[in-house]
Amino acid sequence: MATEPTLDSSDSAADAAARASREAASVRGHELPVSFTGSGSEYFRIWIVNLLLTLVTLGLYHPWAKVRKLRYFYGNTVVGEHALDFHGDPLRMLRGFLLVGLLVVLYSVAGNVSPMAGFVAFVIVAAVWPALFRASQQFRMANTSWRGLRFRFTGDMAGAYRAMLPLFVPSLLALAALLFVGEPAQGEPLEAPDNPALVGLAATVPLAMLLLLPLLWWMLKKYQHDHYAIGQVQTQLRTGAGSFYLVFLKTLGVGLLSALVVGAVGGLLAGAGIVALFSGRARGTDWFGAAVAFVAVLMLAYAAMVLVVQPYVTSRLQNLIWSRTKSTEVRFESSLRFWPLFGLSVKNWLLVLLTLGLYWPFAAVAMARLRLGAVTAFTRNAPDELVSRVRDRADDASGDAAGDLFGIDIGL
Amino acid sequence: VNTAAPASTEAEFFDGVSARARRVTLRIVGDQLRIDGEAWHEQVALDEVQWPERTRHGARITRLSGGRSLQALDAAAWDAWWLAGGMAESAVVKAQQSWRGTAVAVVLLLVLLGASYQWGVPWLSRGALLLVPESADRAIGEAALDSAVGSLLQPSKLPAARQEQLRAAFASAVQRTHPNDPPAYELRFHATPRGSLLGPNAFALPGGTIVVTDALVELFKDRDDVLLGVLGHELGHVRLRHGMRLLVQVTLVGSVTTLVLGDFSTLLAAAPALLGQMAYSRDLEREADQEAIALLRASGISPAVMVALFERLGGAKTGAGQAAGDKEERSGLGIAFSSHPADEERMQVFREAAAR
Repeated sequence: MATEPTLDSSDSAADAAARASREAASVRGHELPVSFTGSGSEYFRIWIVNLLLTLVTLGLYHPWAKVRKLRYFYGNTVVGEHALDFHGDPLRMLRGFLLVGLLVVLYSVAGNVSPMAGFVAFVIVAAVWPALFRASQQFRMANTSWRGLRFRFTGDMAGAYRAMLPLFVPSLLALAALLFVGEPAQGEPLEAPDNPALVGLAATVPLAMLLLLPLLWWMLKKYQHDHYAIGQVQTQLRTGAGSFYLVFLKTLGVGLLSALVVGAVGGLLAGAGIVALFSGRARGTDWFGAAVAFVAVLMLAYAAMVLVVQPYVTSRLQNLIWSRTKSTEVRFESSLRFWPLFGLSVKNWLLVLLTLGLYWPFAAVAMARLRLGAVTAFTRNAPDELVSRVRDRADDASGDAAGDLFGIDIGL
Repeated sequence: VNTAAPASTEAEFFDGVSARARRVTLRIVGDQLRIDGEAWHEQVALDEVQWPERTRHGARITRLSGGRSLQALDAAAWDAWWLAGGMAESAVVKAQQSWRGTAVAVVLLLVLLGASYQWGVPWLSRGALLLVPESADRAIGEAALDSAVGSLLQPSKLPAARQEQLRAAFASAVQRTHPNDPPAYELRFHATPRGSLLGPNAFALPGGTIVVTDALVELFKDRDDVLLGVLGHELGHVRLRHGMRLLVQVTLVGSVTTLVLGDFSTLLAAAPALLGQMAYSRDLEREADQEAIALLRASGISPAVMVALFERLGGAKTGAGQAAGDKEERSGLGIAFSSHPADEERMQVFREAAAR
């Protein structure tokens, strides 16, 4: 490995010691631990000022707020000895933000005007969604730098659409079948129980979607992690869809287990209410008691979802995805354990609820610290030897704004 | 900050092409930033330098032209050097870095949230109504009616003569109340299926459709004056475009709560929006009650007749054993989740209007 030509022309004999250490390191690679150095109280101050200015300006300040937030989070994400930096231009992001805001307003208005208009709007959004997703990835990467080098996202447009096939194919098949079986727009939609084809369709499509969900997730993550690049290094996600199915299967098990626990606890609570409901004495307060018990069970189920299932799947997927993101030059290790994440989720939720949301910035920082701190990067060559070949121009910011509004964002 | 202002600071220089760091010393000389490397030096005009914002934690990365950048080795030393160089930071950064500024921001934020909830959102939504064409209201109303007719609403079983009589009485009351600009409306009578939660009811859809259930007309078969008051209330919703206003207000509140809490949990963000919707809906009911009072007055009927509405509706509910309404024992908590103000409050309004 030592005979590898160095890409830096200014390398001189003075660096002999450095080269020796590089040779020693190349056996194991250079270790670049990732850590997050931000503090909750500081992010609270940034957050509250951002929020105030955003509200005062009726939302127009949002891109500036977002840039401040991202610069704080990036500036505190330390890889090796150097922090990341975010270069997004708020003015350009404002344009994207307004464009996406307009789309969202049109979308919600269309849904209110008529089901048909809502459906058309949905089809249009679905059709441009992969392009927006790709644009968002490009914008994010092109505006992220480390040691003065910009990252790149090299995924192409066709790849973005290909990655979403597990979502599109069943939807299109269902749509085609619906049109073929009969025109449902007039009269009774979908609830004609005498039509077995429709009933079969209504049952298979959600099932197919559920079965394809891990595949979809894998294809999306593969599309992302196959195309991150910095300098001459490009990553790959080296794992098959099978590993994603395994994680989803285990998550299903964890979900069922917590459902059992919720059922047992909730059963005790609901028991009294349900007995009252069916004993024929259901009036006034009894009904109220049953309703309270029912709501309590729903809340418990939601809590189990957010506090147990979500941390479980988050930790397993982060470990899977980052530990399998590698190339000849770089690899990652992620060892995010479930129990610390579970504990932190419980603490964050409790405190956010108790403080009516004011704890949220502290929660965000604590979460970033735990999740980022679990990751370590290893490079074969010294990071000094990274060299940028192309200087990309950042694409339109509307992709980033869309990703933000619809909740898609990169994990690291 | 040191009393002896540091004239220089150490940093790493990145050229934007290679990830290799070069150790440099920085000085501010006049309106130039002087960068001294091991075997080279460079001057950059200060107004071409993009300085980082001061934070307690995190890196100080300065951007120069051509993708080049400087990273401070020691953030505290960097800040001391930078401030000593006569640089000024923005008001936002100052506020973010002081607890006093943050406390002011918290207070302002609470005042702002309260004021926009109370006045800002209703005011903005009234303005937005001027921009939304009434055809949008009609489209929404028609879509809602189409989905309800057939299942929730069935053809009326009231005699045609009775329907005609009510229509005529209402039409002349509307003409008397708004002689110059009578609002456009369409009055429909509908039967409801057995066991329907609608029961004796009346409601207005966006766009001007007023639906009255047969059960309501039957419950008040001897009290046309009460029915007129109910229709006046619904006409108030129509005239003031309450359906569209509520939609706009809820959208506004929803965007604000999503902005504040959406990052954390969309469910948590939806809760204040829902409570906001209920509160605004109660305000709109109060406005519509005032419209009913105006219509009754113009028809020479005392607003006090509306008390009978709440008494009979309350009686119908408890008598029929409809527990779902749970009207008889409403605590303050119950009202927070309710789309209408408490019956007692509304009866009081009509009584006071009659006394005036």
